[in-house]
Amino acid sequence: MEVQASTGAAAGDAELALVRAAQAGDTRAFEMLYRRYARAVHGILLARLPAEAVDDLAQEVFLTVWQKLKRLRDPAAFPGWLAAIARNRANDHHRRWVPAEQLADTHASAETPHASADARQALAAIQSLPDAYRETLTLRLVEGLTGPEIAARTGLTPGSVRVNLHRGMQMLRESLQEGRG
Amino acid sequence: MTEPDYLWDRSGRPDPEIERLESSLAVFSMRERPLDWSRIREPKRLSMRAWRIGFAFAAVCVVLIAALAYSTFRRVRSDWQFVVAAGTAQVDGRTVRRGVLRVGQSLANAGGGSVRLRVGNIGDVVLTGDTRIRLLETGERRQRLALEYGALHARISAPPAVFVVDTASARAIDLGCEYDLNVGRDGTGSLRVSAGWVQLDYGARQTQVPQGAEARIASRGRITPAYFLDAAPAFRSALARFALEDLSAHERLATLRQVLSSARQRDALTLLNLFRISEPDERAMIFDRLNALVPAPADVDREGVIAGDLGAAGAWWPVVIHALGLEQIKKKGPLNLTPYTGMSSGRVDNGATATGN
Repeated sequence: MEVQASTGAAAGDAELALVRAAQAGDTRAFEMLYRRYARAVHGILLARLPAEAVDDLAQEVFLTVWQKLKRLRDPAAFPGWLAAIARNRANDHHRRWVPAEQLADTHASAETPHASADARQALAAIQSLPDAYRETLTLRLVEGLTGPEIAARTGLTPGSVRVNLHRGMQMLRESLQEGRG
Repeated sequence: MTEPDYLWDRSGRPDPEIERLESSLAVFSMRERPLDWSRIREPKRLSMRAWRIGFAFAAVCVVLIAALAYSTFRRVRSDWQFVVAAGTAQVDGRTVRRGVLRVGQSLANAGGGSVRLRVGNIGDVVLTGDTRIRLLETGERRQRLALEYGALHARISAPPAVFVVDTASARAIDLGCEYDLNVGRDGTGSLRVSAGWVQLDYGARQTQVPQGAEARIASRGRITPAYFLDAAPAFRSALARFALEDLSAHERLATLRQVLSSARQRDALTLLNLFRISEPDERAMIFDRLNALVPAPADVDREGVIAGDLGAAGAWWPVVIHALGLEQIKKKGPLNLTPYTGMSSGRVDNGATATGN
């Protein structure tokens, strides 16, 4: 994945001020960052993990970010840094994750979204795509972010996001077509 | 201007399939919820017990590391590294240029060359001429070699009796000094001290040699008392005859008179050492001459000295040392050595094996 060369473009002045304030311990500034980035983190996790686990993990990601935020030297790099923490957290969870069939009796959570079979099939198809495509498609189709918003929230260049969206969408269409056939 | 692209930014005509996916997948999107600050985990505070266990563990680790480092240091520093500076040398018959001499190995230097050995971390020994040594002992408390024949120069900085050289006819015990020791294949030789003191002994015979002095070694453990190198030739030759040769009683008395008559005050140390190797009537003569050169303190018992009580002259030693200005050459402590009885039949004392010539 291509990361934006100019981190300044990834985070505007207002956002930089929020990051700096949060680094100084301002919880309200951090909550504003949370509201702005929560969907992006949720989508990054959902692209890799079962939907049931994502809400709690998204909270954990932000609390981890809060504890590590002072170590971030360049506030302009916040979007890419946050996305990387989310991806790492998803990978950690994946390594510890117990297959759902082993938890059939105990993990049937009220948190499980009541989704249609088509929706589950579509999500499964997205999650089976290569990393670069499933993440951008999840952010676009599930979380409702536009391409420019995805670029701003993840630190990727708009060009990369655009390419990933279109190639990913093409692969998703083929996958769903095969599923119907 | 870019083309409208619904997938990119929802501009232009919507793609029905994308719309359908957006609609159905929305159920998985993030549900709005505030950040739950209560889930932040405070760093665990270690209990006092955990601190104690940790401290004890750290202390054990430090001790183990220190012990390991110390043993490594000792092992490395006990080695006798050597380098052939000139000529050729052999270790156990194998020609070498440099290396480490191990206990039990012999090193022979030939052809007028020289070999420098590093004695652990306490000093250096240089072998010159036709010389052969065997390493007998290495360690923190004792570094010992046998000089089977040849010449060595030692420069040592260590507590007394850490560095010891055995020869066929005497043992040289370093008292913190620099000296030259040479012995021939017949066991005769000499010890010359250029700094500090060296004790030379064999059985009950012994002499302590200060810097600027020398002692000669003959076979069967005969050694002269230490004498200064600037002593009169007549004094030195008479002393050697008296101490080393088998003389009749008459010859001994004549030779002793020659020693005493040619003695200066500076030779008082030599005369004090003569008490050990003389007979009662000889001791009376030595006592009187020494008393003339450096008067005995009141607590020195003349009759006791003449009778052979070595302790009776004990109080005289510091007076002589002071009179000769030798007290500044410090001797630094007890030797903790058993009497030396020399090398014989390929063996030296303490059970270490040495080869014959």
